[in-house]
Amino acid sequence: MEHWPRKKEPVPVTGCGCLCAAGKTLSETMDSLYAGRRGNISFEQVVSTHPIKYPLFALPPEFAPAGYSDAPECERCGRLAIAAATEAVLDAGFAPDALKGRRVGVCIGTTVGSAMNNEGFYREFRLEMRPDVEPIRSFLQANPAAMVARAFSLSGPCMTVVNACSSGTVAIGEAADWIRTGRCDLAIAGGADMLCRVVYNGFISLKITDEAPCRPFDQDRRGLNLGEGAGVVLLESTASAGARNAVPRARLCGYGNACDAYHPSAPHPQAAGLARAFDRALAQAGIQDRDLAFINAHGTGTPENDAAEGHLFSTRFSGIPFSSTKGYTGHTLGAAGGIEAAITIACLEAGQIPGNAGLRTPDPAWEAAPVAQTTAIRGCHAISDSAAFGGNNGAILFERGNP
Amino acid sequence: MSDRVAICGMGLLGGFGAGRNAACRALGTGGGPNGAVDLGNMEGAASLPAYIADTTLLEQYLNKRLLRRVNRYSKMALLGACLALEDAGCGIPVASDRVGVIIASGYGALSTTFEFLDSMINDGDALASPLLFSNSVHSSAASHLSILLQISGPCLTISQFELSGVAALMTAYDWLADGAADAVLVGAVEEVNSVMSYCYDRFGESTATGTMGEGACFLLLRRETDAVNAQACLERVACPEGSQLKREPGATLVVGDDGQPCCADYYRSLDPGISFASRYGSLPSGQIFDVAFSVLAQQMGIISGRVQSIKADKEGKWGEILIAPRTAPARETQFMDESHV
Repeated sequence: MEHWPRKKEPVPVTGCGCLCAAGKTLSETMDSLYAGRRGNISFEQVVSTHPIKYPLFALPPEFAPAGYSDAPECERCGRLAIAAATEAVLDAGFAPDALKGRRVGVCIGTTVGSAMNNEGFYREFRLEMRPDVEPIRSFLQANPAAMVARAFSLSGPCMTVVNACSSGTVAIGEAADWIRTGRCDLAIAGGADMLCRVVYNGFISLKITDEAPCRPFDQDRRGLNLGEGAGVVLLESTASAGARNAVPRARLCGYGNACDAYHPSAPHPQAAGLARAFDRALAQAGIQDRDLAFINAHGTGTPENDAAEGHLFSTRFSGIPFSSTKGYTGHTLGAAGGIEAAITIACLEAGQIPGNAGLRTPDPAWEAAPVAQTTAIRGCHAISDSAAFGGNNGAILFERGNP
Repeated sequence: MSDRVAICGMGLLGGFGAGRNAACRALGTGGGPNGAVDLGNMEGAASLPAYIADTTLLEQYLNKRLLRRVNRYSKMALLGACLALEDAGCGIPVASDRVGVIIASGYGALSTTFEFLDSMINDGDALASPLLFSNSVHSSAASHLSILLQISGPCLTISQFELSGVAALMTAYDWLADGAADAVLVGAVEEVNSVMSYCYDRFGESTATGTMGEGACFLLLRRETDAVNAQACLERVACPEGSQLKREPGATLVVGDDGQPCCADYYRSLDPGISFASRYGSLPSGQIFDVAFSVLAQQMGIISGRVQSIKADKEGKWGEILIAPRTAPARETQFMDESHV
């Protein structure tokens, strides 16, 4: 039997949801993107003694889910995931309580949402103050996928993916396989992450954070800006969607996951692993490079990431339009793949992609350059890709619902 | 294709030592904690017993120089992976894009997470350590495996507390079934430290808890039809819905009862089963240890026939793995890069 990557059955996407600094819903987010309007930028969201205040793409208070600001910090990723999932479930035509009793899985990517880094607790621990362990109990209840499953009373497969910045993309790809193998009929899949000072200080320490709003693929780019939010798609088996006459917004046709095996914190300069992730996604979809209408790039704005992607897009996907949306949303880490999946689907539906925010002078190191303005696209397939610490790469390929 | 997945190699380390022989000895003796972890110098407090792993053996597989920037969490994973590869007769490094890596961890790189906080608190936010930060993410172990063992296939790290292990094995099962990889290194990795010791102590004020454990347990999995020297096969890996366990006729029940009070009621509701937790301690991704100890017990004649492994979480969900003893070997296939096809 042939085991090499091969064409797979497309998985319908019947609902999408996202919230981020650029919008409280997917629709609001797309309005911001097409208007060229960056999301809410804050310099005060995180308290730090660092002498420089770095911009953050923070959720404005009015975007936050009910009870968000009063919730224990460790629960916030889960609450963001629930908010995006609720939008996706409603978008698919389900009442929020209608999934109970159905065979529904949950697969959520995150970074902060699984980290036991409660600073207040730990400071008291260091001072031998015998801190209350309630923050740890809360952490043990705050697994993002489990929180979503509880919120919708679901008992199907449940998995939190912690692949760092590729988590959301990988979560969606893995959940699609659950649908294909019959492990469940529907899957809530995506990513969620929130801003916190531990991660803020961490990224500054890596010296890959821009003091100005980020400029993906620009020759003067200086790094990323962190963001927060969640993005979720509702995946559904063809049989389930057909039985209720649901019209898919898109179909997930391909997924690739591959490693650079190169460096703990830098991508392979020629994007070796990312190229293989693209190969796998394209093979599963049964299409050629030239069939892509556009690429939603990872495009963080760090010199190394954008150089690797720029190399790949120039040498392999010349002529395929691409852009990064992180200039609107910030880099939302484990949520990025979820948010960008929803954006990719919305772009396929609208037949246009937003301009790459922050781009003034395309980096002349590569032939390819992202689109600077909202640009019409032709075709019905698109890839959204993510790359992570340690060289993990994910790519998911969507086909428009009405090709 | 058979829908069974073969276990071709196993690599274990924990309080029982490192490697197959150490694990077999623990099976025979019943095991027990081999060390203690202090509670962070709290006044009047001392330490709690724990199962502590030793990674010294790793230097037999990888040059010490390559390990300079690798934390203990990742060293445990690397040693478990190397032992599994050696047990399967595979070379190190692997150097293939047809091999995948899946790591299950309930808590991730705990010590490095807190060491990074130490760097912020001691030195100030502006001098936080970049090395500690990049090593504090859960996926750091998978990254080091990928880089140092030259594995460039698919890669996944899962954190689902008690169901981390079954989720990892379920994913590996699917990757092999649909051809995403020809072999998958699946491992559980957990680490203990003084913060966890303190939490165990405080949680134990109200109810009995298990004894902390740390270590790593890796399985090298292949499709049964591709496997040589299969040691056992996974016949089913699932997270069944509902609370009712359907007992597999003739199979020995192995329960993941590691002393955690949140799941005790569930285990008590089942038929009497075997628990191997006294060999490795209490750790959330312990079901992968249960699989490995079950296979060893089959090989040693302690268990005859199949094993039905069950691990529950605090919400009443559970994972089920059905393990069959070794089967006749089939043909051998080498790992090949996609570019060679």
